[in-house]
Amino acid sequence: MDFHDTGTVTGVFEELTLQCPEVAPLRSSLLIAVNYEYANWNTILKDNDEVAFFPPVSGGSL
Amino acid sequence: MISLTNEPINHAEIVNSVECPEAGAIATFDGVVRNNARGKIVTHLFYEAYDGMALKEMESIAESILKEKSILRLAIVHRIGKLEIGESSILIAVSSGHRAEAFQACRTTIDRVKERVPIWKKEYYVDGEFWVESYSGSSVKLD
Repeated sequence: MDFHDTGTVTGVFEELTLQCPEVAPLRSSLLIAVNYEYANWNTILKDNDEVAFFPPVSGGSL
Repeated sequence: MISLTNEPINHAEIVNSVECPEAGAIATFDGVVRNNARGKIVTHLFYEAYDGMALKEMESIAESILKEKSILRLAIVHRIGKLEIGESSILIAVSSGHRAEAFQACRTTIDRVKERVPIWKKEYYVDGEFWVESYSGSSVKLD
């Protein structure tokens, strides 16, 4: 996806919620990764960074 | 050996990969698919990974365990895709000079994998399905 205002992860998420409003309520439970490393809402992005939002990992109780 | 695989886990190959002449103990942890969860009968599971990051996290966990603990070799193999009851979803093997270190490193490794590696599982029941969304005790902190 191309984003116009991609200062931080928060900016990307806000833009994403414009396109997919259904993801907005998930915000508080999401984990964030930038370029395959855990990041946070304030992480500053640069061109071509890969940002991922995903739910808590779920190995579960074995 | 650190890997993700779509194929059944080859236990012997993974255990062989941590063998070395200095080892006096090899501990393994074998995570298998259970036939029940949340009071329901489970028919099978589906594991999905954020592949590149999952592998990177597994490598980073292995690296830190090798630094922190007195162990010799460590292997982590996680299976993804559809798994039947009784099949292995993860195998961890650790070799060390003596048993205490191998047991402890094996335990620490599985705990960290469950906390940090982006792999999710979906449970299928006779009458439905459920993405397991959270692992209580997760230590990943974003802020």
